[in-house]
Amino acid sequence: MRRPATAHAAFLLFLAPVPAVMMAATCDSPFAPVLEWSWTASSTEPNSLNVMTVPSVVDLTGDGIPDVVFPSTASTGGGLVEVGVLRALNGANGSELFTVTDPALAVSSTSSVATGDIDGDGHPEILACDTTGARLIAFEHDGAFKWRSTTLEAINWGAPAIADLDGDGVPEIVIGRQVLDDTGAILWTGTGGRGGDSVGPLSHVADIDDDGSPEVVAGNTVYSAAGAIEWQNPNVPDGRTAVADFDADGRAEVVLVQSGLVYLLDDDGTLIWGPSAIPGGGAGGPPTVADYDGDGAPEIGVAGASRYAVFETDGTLKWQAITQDSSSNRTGSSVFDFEGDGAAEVVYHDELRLFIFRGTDGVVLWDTPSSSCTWYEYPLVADVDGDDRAEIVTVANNSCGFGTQRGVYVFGDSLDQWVPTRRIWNQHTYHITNVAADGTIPAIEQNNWDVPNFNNFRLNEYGVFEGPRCDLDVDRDVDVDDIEAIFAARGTPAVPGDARDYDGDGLITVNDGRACVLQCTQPKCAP
Amino acid sequence: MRKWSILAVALLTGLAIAPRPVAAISIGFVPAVQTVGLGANVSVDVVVSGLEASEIADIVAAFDLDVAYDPLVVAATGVNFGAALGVLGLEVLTNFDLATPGLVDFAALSLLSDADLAALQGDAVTLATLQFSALALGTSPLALISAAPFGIDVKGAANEILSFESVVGGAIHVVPEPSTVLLLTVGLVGLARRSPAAAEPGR
Repeated sequence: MRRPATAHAAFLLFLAPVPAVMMAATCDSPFAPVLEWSWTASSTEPNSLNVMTVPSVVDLTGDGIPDVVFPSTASTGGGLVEVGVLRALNGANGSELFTVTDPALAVSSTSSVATGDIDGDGHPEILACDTTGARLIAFEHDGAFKWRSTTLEAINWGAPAIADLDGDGVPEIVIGRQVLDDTGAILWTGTGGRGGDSVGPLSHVADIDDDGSPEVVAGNTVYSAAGAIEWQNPNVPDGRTAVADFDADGRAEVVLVQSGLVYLLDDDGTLIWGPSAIPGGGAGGPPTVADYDGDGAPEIGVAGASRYAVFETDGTLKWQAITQDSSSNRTGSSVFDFEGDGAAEVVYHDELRLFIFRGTDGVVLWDTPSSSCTWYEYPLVADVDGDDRAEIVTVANNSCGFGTQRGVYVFGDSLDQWVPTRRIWNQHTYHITNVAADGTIPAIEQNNWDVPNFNNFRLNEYGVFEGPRCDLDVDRDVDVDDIEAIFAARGTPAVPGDARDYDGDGLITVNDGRACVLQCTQPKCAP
Repeated sequence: MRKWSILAVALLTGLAIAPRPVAAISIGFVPAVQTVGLGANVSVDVVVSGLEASEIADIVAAFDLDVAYDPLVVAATGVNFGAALGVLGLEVLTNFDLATPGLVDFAALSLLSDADLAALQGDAVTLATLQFSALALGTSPLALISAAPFGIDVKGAANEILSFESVVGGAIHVVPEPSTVLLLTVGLVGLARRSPAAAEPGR
């Protein structure tokens, strides 16, 4: 189903409701996050504490507990590239796993990392942008150097995405309109859009036309898996995107944000609606797609210079919340139903504060000081400490003088009642189906919009219980019962999604058994 | 003891995050060659050695192995697992399959932590003792089969597969039983003593 293009004048959008309570933070809601841990100091590179990107949450060590990977910098500038170091923290408590201190392996702290098992070794690799702002470095899961790409098109604030474009079981790396293989060699460079503006690209992968072959979505252009332009809409600018099925036709539409305007393009590039202006102006950040109001239809959240705005499925403004982001006005956001009550909340971070907005109307449910000069970052929601409860992971920096907070902060529920969610968030363009729980990249990605209750982008799954991977009997313990089930099946082929096949090699082996022994919740795998 | 445990954990942690040094670890049969009489039972150990050959000792945490033999010469009759991977029935899972003639399939999976295994094991670990009976005269080679995806599949610390510098085969020579040899000798001697007379013409 196609919808007629509709223009939306900015002055009309300002007529959309701005909840009065937003002028002062409200705490009459039972919504009461508490700081579970923070990383605000280090004995390694002790001045390098400013964090300004979306961290990656993934289990690097194989212990079943996620880890948090991000670059940090000592710089207080607000540039396109800020030289920093790659760090990894234990998601359980924020203790440091490693910091890559070799100056030759310094990274840009303005580019979000992506993680995923690109070489099939059973461990996620880490992809970061180096200090040139135009090359990717791949690190092993322990921070060891793996490879560095040749000079690419400018990355700057942009971020890589990992996907298996050719379905051969070996993932590719997408950055802007370029695709690299698992060794960092360039496979192709497109000739259309890049998925961003001068500050950097945020392209991603989805089979938007549901033809069985994934496409690279890069702003106003969609490329085939081999790099040919499938379509480019010259009437809309390049920009930041998200995809979801807005018209229930089984194919995905592309939400495009650029220069303070929001567009919706059909899966063939036809303009469905737009531009819709972001109230308060600003460039507009990477969009989030979610069912904000519980009506069963996807809405779009976009942050600008002085408002966080939510647009209805048809492009009309639903609500706006007052924010402050005069610096980048390109930040993102995420959405989560923390209480599992069917009402989603929005997590958003501007120059001064971390906010939680009520999804239906933008009322501030909670906020706390958290400073940033702002780049492309946004807070994410994941079970970062493996306690089967969702947490908010956010970052802060004292760059540009907006405040004093620096580092990484993890907030949980004071009552420990937030619903479970996945233990992973691997890249800026995360959308649940792009990565398995263990950091492996699916050879054939399931369309997010085809999964019941998904049809979203840049948010995590609500209410999923994701106990330890080896907990085959789902009794919340990894014990001898689980190990025996694996051992008894040694040498037999695994079925798709087989929980006994820990390493995902298609065969159940003692390798799977021993990997699970190392995750036993009691000594000697006692039940 | 606590000091050694801490040291073991530290070393194993180092193993998990550091590139695995090349160690002179080998796997093979002990004894490598045996000579047994026809009809006799024979045992042979499958042993990993050299675990402490490098600066950072390794361990055996699990294995899944296949040993090929000549079923016309010997028959596999059983597998006994040692205690190097933990107390049988409590700390280690074991399994073997002799159904395929010419092949012994045996596996074990320790439920102990790497640190516990490091404290339990030394330079050499007996994975299992294979039992055969001698069926016919001849020689049966013993060979560890390298199979996909892991080759000679023995897991070390941090579930990394052990890399063997040498994989040593073995053999079982089956010869006539001593009593058989004695009877044969007596018979031959008897034949020899009778032969000249029997050979005389006209008698």
